Amino acid sequence: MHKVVRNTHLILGMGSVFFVLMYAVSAAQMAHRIRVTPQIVEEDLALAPGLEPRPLAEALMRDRGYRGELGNPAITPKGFRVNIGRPGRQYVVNYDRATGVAHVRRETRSFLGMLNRLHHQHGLRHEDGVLNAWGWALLLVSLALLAIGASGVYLWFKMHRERLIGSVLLGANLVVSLALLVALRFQF
Amino acid sequence: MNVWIRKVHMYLGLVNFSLLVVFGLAGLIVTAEAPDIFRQKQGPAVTSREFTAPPSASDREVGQLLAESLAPPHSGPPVIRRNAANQIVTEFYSVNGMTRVTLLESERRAQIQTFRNSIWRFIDNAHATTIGEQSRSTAVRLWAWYIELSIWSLVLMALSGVWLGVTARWKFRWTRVSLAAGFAAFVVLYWVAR
Repeated sequence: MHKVVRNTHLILGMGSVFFVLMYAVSAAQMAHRIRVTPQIVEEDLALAPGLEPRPLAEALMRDRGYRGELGNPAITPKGFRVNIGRPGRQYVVNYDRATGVAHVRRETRSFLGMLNRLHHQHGLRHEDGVLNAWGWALLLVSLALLAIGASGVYLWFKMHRERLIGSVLLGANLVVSLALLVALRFQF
Repeated sequence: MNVWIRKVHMYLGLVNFSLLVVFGLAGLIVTAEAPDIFRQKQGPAVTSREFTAPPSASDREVGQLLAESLAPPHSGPPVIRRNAANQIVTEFYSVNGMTRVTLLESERRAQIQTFRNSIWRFIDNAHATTIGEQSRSTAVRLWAWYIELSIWSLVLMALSGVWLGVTARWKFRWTRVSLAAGFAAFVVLYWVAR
């Protein structure tokens, strides 16, 4: 049993370490409000007039190599505005139905900006398979984190010489965190 | 040296155990798309109280007055705006959801809608409560600093874990396989998401 738990702790930790570091670094970026400025390029494209949002996105993906998920369209006086994007790149397309001119604002994110977007990526029901893959990654890393925590406590408990100091640390963790969570939830 | 690195790895894990559970649960909650305050079955609790806006006050000043008297515990700075009916709306966001105060000036009354979230969304919000929060609540600040400790502990635990795996268990085939597979998965997913 001990050997199985020890190996599981090791394998899950090694397998998820790069994802865990990504979540931790991006969490620090958000907590400390480190500015992440995307690189922005704007251009006008001549497209067929009278398109609806989905055919427009399909045309841009097919003919111009745009990738990502289509967001909710917003109605504008001359047509509509849509976002097409993935964590690393976002296209904001302002389309004029009458003329077929699309003003495109392309935002390319820096490494930290990309980590920030990946941190927020979740869900398994996207139309874009890449976003679903990140949703699965989040699910697996979350399960791994829970299993690593539980197996870590088991491994500590089996080290008899560490029980005293470990009990103090774990006890302090549980008392402080649960007290704070109760205070937050019940508004003390 | 590995003895001390193992101790640090283990002690950090114990000091942060419950927060690692919160982080793990938060990931599962957003994956399962647990309903947020606007999609949950339970609607907002609605109450009202008397409130008269000073005639010479700006919208922002009225919003601040509403905040001083009606802000729920643990909330951050209010978001003040006018709605489609041209009423001043002040919204307070906290780890427990959102409270919306709508000023009904002609009735000299403020309507208070409390959108209390589920325990799952509470956990999700708790995991995102960082020192960047602008709340004056002591509980929020203490929790945010605990989260801050956990973020850096997670970095240290990850690095010390890799060190221990590489130096002490490198001959174990699954150490190399899992590290390589995790690295490859991350690089490929990062690359395709650019």
